[in-house]
Amino acid sequence: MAHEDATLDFRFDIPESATTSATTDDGALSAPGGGMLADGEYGMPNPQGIPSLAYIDAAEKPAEERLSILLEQMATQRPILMGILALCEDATPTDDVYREVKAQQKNRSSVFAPENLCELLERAGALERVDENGDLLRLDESEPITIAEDDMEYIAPNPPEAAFWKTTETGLRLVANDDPLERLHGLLEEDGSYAPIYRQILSLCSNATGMTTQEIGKHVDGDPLLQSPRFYATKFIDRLERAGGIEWRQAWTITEEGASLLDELNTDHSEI
Amino acid sequence: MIKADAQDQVTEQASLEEVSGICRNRAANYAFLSQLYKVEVSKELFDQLVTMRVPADMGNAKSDSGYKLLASYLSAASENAVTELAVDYAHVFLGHGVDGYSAAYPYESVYTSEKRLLMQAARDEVLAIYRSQHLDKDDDWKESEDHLAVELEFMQVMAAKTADALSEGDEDEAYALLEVQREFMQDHLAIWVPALAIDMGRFARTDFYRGLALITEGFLETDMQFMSELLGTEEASNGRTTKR
Repeated sequence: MAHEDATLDFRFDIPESATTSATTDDGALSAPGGGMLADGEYGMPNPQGIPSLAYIDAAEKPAEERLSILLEQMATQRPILMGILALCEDATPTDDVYREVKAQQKNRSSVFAPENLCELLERAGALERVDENGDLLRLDESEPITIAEDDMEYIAPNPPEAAFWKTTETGLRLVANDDPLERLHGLLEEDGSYAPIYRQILSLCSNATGMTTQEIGKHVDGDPLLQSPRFYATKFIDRLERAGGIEWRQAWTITEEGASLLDELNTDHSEI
Repeated sequence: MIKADAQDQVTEQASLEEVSGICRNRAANYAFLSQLYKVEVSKELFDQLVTMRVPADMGNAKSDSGYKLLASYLSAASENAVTELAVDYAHVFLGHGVDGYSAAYPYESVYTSEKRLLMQAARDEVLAIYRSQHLDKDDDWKESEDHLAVELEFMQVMAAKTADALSEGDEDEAYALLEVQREFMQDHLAIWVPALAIDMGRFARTDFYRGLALITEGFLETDMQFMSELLGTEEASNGRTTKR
């Protein structure tokens, strides 16, 4: 039996005997057939019950699913990833793409270089590398060349031609269907009871200079809504960032979609 | 060599110049290899490598295979290649384990000590050899003296000095320098580098570092043969006896 986990590229195959458990008369936990812990007083790991790792090649999944997983796993990079897909609707020289991404990354340092991000999108099926004629460029098909000169033969690397990035049909559909405001609505549907907290944070971030995490915390952490269970501003800042309501530009700053949501929340609030 | 008439002197001078040129090429090869083991490939070096041309037949099967792998990698390299190579450099030479078997650690002590430790007898030996030639580790270099990059750089310096001596016509000095290089090769490089090359082949994820392992091994074989032939010729013509 495998665990369902859409975000992972592998599954743990756990022996069926380990998936059910029963309590013995003395209260100790055991599993029919041995399970992950062997029977007996000390409950040592059972070599027969060790889960086996089964790698599933991510490339077997359809492009839409791979892209959805990528955007979920890299939610904070979503604006940049979507920006790349929008930029490359027409084939764009790779250097131009990287320059644009570097400019966008000015306010968000990342371990992901522009080249990495493009290759991740390529692996997800949202971007493809093409030549100047728009034909697919397969780097792994490039071979060194042999040069004959002065009765000697030389080998030389055959560097890739000028390359362009182009958004695939899958990527174009994603760009066309992207609705950031809908994601924010989804956040409020999940977390409706904390709508006043989100409204307050969006409001704080709507000033011209934005607001730091600490400053937001000072305004929000003492709110009665966050006392039991105890939550802090960082939880909601993170959710708003992932949903696209705020972004970091030397301070937390409201986005266009965040401003639209704030208007809606203010309207709802005033009607109450 | 015995100096005879003027024609022989011209021939001899040409021969010295040829050997001097060969030694300068040796120095350049050692410098190239040393750089690749010292640090990750920089963007500047990568751009140079993409334009390189090497003879298809280097006279050594390992060198030929190594350069083919290198050229293949460079032909298929994406814009992310410098990062990919940096990752592979860490994977091959730094590793992430604590058991001494998690990478191809480029230190002679690791390969010649019983417990694969650093700073063992090999390090002390090579340091003594460097100092005997009035060389020492640069303070900026924080690794030990038996790192492969340093050992290769030592050979580079010695090869360059040999070339200078030959250009100046100082055969005795050139002979002495070549003797030091041959002994260093026999007593150190030739002993542990083949084992390192095997490990590099195991740990490398790119053809670049697989190719580098073969190129290094092949070049050291070729250089050992060159020095043996050259010193053998010198010994025969001067009546010198070898130290071994």
